[in-house]
Amino acid sequence: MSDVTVKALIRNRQGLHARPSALVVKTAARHKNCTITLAIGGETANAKSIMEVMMLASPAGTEVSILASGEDADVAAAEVAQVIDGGFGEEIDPAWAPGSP
Amino acid sequence: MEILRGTVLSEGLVAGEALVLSSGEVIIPDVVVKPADREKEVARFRRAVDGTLKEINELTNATEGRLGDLTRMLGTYQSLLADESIINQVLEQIRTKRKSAATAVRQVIAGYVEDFRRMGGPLANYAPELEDLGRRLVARILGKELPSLDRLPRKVVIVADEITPMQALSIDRDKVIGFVTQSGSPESHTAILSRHLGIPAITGIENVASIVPQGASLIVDGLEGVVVLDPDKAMKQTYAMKIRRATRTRWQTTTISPEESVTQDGVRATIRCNVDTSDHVRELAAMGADGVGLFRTEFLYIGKAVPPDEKAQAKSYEETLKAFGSRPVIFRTMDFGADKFDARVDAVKEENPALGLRSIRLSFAREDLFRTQLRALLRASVHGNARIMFPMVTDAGEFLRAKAILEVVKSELKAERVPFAADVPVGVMIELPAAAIASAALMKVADFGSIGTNDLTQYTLAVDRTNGRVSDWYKPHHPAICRLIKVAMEAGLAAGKEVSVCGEMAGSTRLVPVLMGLGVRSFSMAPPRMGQVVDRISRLTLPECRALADAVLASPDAEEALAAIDAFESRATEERTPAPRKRRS
Repeated sequence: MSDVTVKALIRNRQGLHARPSALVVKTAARHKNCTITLAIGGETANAKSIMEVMMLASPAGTEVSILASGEDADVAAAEVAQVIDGGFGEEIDPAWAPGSP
Repeated sequence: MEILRGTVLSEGLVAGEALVLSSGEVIIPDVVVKPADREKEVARFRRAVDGTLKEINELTNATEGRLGDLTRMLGTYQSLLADESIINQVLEQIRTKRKSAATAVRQVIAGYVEDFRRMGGPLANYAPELEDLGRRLVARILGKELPSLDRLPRKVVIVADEITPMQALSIDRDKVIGFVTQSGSPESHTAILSRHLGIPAITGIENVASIVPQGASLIVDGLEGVVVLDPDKAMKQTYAMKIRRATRTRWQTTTISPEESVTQDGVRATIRCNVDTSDHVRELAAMGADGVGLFRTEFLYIGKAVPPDEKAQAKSYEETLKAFGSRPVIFRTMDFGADKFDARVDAVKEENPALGLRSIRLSFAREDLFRTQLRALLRASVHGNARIMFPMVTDAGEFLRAKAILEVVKSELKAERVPFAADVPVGVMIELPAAAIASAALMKVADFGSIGTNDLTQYTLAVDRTNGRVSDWYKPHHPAICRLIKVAMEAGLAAGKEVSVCGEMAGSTRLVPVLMGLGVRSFSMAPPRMGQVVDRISRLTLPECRALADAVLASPDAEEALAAIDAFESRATEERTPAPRKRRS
């Protein structure tokens, strides 16, 4: 058991809307014995709840902290971070593309 | 007999029996759950979730791919059903607050629906889905299954407040012949489904689900936007004839002859059709119209989380252009509000979207999207006779600003060595009163104009035509509208440019004579209307049309204008019915 925090950036043009939220939830749900929380500013959301993730409704350029605790916490956090950093497979906002200042 | 007026979402004409879907909430017995029964309630909740999930999976399999975005919406249902925070909150309500499963579900869902609505933007769009899901769960828990629409005993007209996506998807397509609803926008599930099925749908009739009794006899006139409840014998006979004629002239199977749209005194009118998607474009092209007077590109965007990219758009435009060959296809650039896909938190919910950031204004605000569309249009332009048209412009300055962006996009494509038609004509919609009044200046800079009578009427008379409470005030025959059309027609004439009419007025056999009299020579309408309009034009003479237009223009109010139109119409019918045969014999 360990606690891990990883940071990721929302890079897709459309931000964290319904489809990306569903992707986050799908990824998080694979880790049954691990609690995963997304934090943006003061708001937190259970990464396994599409409702909570959707209600974070964050635009491109928002930094997200992924807090994981439990079995394989490091793997779980990294996977969720990868989904977010990858822009959910959607069009990337050039202002937030990897490598841009 | 009662006549209910609404707005047409999908055209067609049917008579049948009403199946009223009650939106009334199921009554949940008020019980405090005893500690011993708690886990029984939990089990009931879990069974309801499993059952609904199974139902959705079956639906998904059954409709796979056929309804595109509608099917994809089912994915949202699945995610919502599997949601941890919903499940945990319901369980908590049952276990610690002694609530029954049904009450717990209703309260938890209601809380989220309220949150979604409050947050506005794209989240608010999920509220109806969530509500529908809540209703389904509660009904299942209480063993009161919602009416199943997938196995209907006979043909029915569905009457409801609104059709939910699940209802839309589970519907027995062979048995449902029409929809009548209280609310539903042109982008609603009801609209998409009814157009897809090719059956009539009318919306905007307030409290329709309580007005219409279960099993009542209905006529759905999806040409005039009228529903007749309990029609009398005479009305039934009138419609039986109309329906037979409409069935005969179904657009899928008929062709029109635009060369016959010539008045008795030899004036040819151009007959084009309005197109929403490239889905049936080959059949449409085969009908023989003079081209597409209005391609509504917004249907490429509707129901999509992400706007279509350049390639996908270009493909749809290309298909249409190829199908119509040398005939012109007028593409109107995106014409919708900012709420369509603005996923940002700061997305403002507009108090008055019809007067808000939409159409060309949105194209300026989101130049990225606008450029993508223009690139796609130009890319496709080599495949046929493309024309581009900007909506919701108020003056020449706005038109030139949009055109300047088009020029920039052209130079980009040139630099990238992408071929395009360099001389694509660029026109303007005349749909705001300001554009009509300022049309002289507009027609100097635009290559052509097109009068959008639906919006022109809505904005001039300040009537939301989808609002059933004021739909009686929606009067395209109003003398003020005809005056604005006249101004625009004169501006086109002075500049030597074509000004056409698209919108429902162009497809109305009663109003076409007025338009001809005002100088209109090019009409664009829904495909099923073309045959009737050609027929009507072929029986007109220009002097009588001009006299009618003058009478309408001189009318002090809409009622008198309508009386003039009615008188003209009944003269035409009288002359027509017995006369021709006698003369021939």
